[in-house]
Amino acid sequence: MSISDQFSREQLAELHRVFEAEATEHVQALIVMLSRRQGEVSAAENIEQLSGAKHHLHILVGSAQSVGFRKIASMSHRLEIAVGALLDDATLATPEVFDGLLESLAMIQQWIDHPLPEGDKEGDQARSDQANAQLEKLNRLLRPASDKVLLDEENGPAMAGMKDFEITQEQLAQLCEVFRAEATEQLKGLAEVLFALDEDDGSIGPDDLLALLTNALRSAHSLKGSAGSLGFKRIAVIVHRFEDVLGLLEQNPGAMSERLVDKMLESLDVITQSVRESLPGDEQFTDEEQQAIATLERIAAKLAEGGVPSESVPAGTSTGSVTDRGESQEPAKKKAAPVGARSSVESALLESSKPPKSGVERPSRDGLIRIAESHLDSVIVQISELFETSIQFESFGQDLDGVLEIAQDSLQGLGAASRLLNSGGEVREDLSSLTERVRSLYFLLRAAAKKNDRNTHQLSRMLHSAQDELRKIRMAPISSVFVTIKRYIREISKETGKQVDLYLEGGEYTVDRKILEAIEEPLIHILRNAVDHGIEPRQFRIEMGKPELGYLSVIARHTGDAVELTIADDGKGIDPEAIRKALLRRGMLTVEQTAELSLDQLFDYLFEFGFSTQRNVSNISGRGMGLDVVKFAVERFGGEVRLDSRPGDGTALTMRLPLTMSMVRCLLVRVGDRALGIPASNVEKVLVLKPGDIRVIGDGEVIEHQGMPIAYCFLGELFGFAASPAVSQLKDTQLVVLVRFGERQFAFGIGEVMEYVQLILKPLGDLLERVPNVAGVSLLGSGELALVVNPADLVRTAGELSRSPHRGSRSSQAEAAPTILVVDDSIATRTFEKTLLESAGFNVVTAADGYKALDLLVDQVCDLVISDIQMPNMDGISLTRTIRAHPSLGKTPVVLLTSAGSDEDKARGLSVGADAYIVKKDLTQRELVQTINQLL
Amino acid sequence: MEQNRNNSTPNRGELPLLRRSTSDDYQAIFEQRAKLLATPPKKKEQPDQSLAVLSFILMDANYAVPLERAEAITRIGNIYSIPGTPGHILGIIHRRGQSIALVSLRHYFFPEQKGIADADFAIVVTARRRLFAIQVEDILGVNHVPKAQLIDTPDNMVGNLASFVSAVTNDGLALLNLDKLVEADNFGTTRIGRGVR
Repeated sequence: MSISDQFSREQLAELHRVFEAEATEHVQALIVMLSRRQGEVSAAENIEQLSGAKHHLHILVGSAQSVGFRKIASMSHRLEIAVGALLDDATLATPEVFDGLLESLAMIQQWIDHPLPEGDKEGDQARSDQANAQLEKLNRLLRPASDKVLLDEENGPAMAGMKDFEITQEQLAQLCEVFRAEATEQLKGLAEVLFALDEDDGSIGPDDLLALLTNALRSAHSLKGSAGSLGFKRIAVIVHRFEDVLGLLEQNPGAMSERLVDKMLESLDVITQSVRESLPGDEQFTDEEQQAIATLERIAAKLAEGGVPSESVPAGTSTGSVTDRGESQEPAKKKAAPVGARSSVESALLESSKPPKSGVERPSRDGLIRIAESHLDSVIVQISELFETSIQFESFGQDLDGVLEIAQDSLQGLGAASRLLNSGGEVREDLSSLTERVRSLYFLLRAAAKKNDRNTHQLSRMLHSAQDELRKIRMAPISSVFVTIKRYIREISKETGKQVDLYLEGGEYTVDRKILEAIEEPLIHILRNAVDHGIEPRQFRIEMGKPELGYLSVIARHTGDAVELTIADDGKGIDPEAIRKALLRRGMLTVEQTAELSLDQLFDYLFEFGFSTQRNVSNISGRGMGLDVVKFAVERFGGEVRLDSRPGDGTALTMRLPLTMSMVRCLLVRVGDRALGIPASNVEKVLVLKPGDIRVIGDGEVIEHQGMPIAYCFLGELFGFAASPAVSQLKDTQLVVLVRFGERQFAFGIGEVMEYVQLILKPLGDLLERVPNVAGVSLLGSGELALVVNPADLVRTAGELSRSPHRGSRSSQAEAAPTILVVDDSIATRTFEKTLLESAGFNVVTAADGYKALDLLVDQVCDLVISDIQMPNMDGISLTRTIRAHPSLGKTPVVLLTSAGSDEDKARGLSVGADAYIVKKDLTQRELVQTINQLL
Repeated sequence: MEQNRNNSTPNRGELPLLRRSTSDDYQAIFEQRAKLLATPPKKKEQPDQSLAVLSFILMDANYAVPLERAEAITRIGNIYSIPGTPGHILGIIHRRGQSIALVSLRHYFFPEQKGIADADFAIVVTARRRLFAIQVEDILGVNHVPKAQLIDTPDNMVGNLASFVSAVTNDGLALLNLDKLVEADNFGTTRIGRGVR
């Protein structure tokens, strides 16, 4: 089947437009990459460039194939082979080959810009000739060294080792990923339709009902088609049966019943599971799949006979298990009579391949487009990168201002000198001429600075606007999780036999869809807890004088820069005594300790992993897994969780969710040589304390603020990268930031307050999803990375640290940690040595060569120098010699740490005055620390 | 940087030149040329019979990762160490707007081994949809390893290494199993959040 058979003309045109834009980007990127290659590049850069080019070409092949541009796909594939040949054999990479590749890309771009009209055989032949001429040229350049065959398939052998347009494993994997994402969305849509039908109290008119069913049918049909085309046969078969049932329901909407909805939802579950787990080509049906098929076939048979498939109550006449008030704030309406027979029941089964009904208008898309999340993420990353460039632009502008200031000073100085020497013939003329030159310099610089300011401002404005738009694309309404909630409550109510009146509100508020995805699983935990632990059995509620139906509300509210989602029930609430008993039973605390805990502190234990007040474990809950997951998921992106409960009255859990994951306003501080961002919403105050204001009480340190003692900790000590100045040694004032998280407050000592700033929060990378105390990083204008702290973790860790028994001795330490200067031209080695020494308790500063080390030594007191020998500009031998000859630095101990390990090297190093010589390959942390301690 | 370190056989394009040679050298050069010309041209492996790998040096040994998993090779410009991460995570590097964890396999495979080496290159790789960078001492280049030459991991491999090498070649190139590395509990910090499944 050709692509034009699968899509409508409009869809095809849209696909082509998307392809044109995407393909142009790839071609442009390739041109940039391959043009760069013609200059001088290192071997590593060469491999990087060519690998990147190959990747772009590979994507281009896949995209062109998917929209039916065979010629572009074919040519791109051959270029991919050619680039592969260059990767295999670097000697082939001549300027002529690169010229040939660039010409070929120009040709592809021309084809992209001017697609041939359908059936233009002449044009097609002309392009084949053009391609063959180009490929022959490339062949000549690459042969005989390469055995790759590049000829066009119409005139010679096809692509080496593969059939033309056969989908590669990688492409198949990509297609499957797209299919899974789309299928999940379609299945959600189908579930929504079923809910709407189930909840219908008669307000859906016959036309709307038909439209709903037709849309569902269309969705199922499309899902079946995509599953079949990718080889997901099991999915295609079940969806086919589902489609049959929908088709019959379309003929007989009156046959819809609550039981039928349940059965159909169950089959959607099975399909969802298959979408997640099955692989293309896998034809072995699971038991659940077979069962779902059998059920759907049974339902279809009943419907086809003209009957109602089960004896259950029709839709709209609730069993009372779930009373859903929907997203409106209107009180629940009494459900009306069954939908009734809106159309006659047809007995014939619709053919499985029946296309969607043509007479019904396609639902309006409201100008919406489907965007692959990966593309969106990529654009966001690029915009962030642009943002960083813009920030560096600003920084450059500041540098320029500095130069401008110097030029202005010079100009004024020269003017003054000139006036003093006004009687001095030639000297005066020289000075006048110099003054003129500096004046020109000043005006040029001023013009440049103004231009830079204007450009920076414009760039920044455009970027802000683009980023705002992109952020909006990422936003999704909270109502998108309401389907999950309704679904889950429906199931759990049946499972537990507890009847629940569900109230949903605030679905219109939007938050980052990644946040919504992240809270979906936690939400299920909370709902499970609410129904299983919270809401009492019906009889018990009657005895307690409560309404028969349990009440559960999920309400979203907008508050400042966040949305608060509160899940509340009117159940039995949480008994503080039960938590105390559980703590004692587990031996976690003593009776005295539990007695001292406030209600909030007690509730905090419910968020601990494995903690449960339940003695009995049910299949729904009680294993103590749940609230820790909630806390983890919410705090991971900077949110907060609060729990409020009153025994007998119910429980409310509130999740405060930031609107977006990418921007956060922070107080930027410096601790040691690190910049740290503390989210501004958690910063209470910045205090300047005098030495006596920090007091040691027991094992911990406290400050007094507004008459209240607040635990204190030096932030660098908490992170382990800057030794804390001992309290007894504090001579100057100490800057302290008061951080609040929920009810907890902590005072953190810092080195310097930089500014309040809006930071672009970035994750730490795929391997570091969760690092204690760290929410992410942000690139500053100076090019430095700032750590953005996680206030929830920070306050918790600080609390644990302040209770640590070893900490008291630190407070009375007599001396501050020594400062070591590490000098090495290798960034990796420098960083490694720094980390190693910091973990041993030293303050560490670094320099990349001898000159920079000397600059640092003059500016800052360093107790010891560790230096590599072989370095550019000034090596370790010269550095040691210079230190020894320096009047004030001469006695600084120097350790040479180097790869050069011969006796001659050692003798040379020691002869210039080094105190110790360590060979890198023999280094251990212990030996290094011992050596340092001996020398200090 | 030294390229193709493990490929010591000169290729046919590197025939010894007669120019600037003395007559005494002629015979030796002729013999060498004859030997090289007699060598049949190296056959390219068919794609399904060989595996394209990117090989590199770490602690004087040769390792490789499948080429399809290598996203980029980069010279390490700056490393930002992150407190609270395992010792083999050297920090993060910033590349094209993304933060990427930089891993020292040396410290992961041989945590007890002493010594450090200058290693300022990184290979950015993907495994199980996770992007990270491996610190390497030098890049050897792209090789096509015949699948027939791949043998099981020998028993004498030490440290954690043996668990993460999927195969080795006759000439000692160890092919790393990146998926297994990423799945190892202590490799990243994705499981630090207690109870997260």
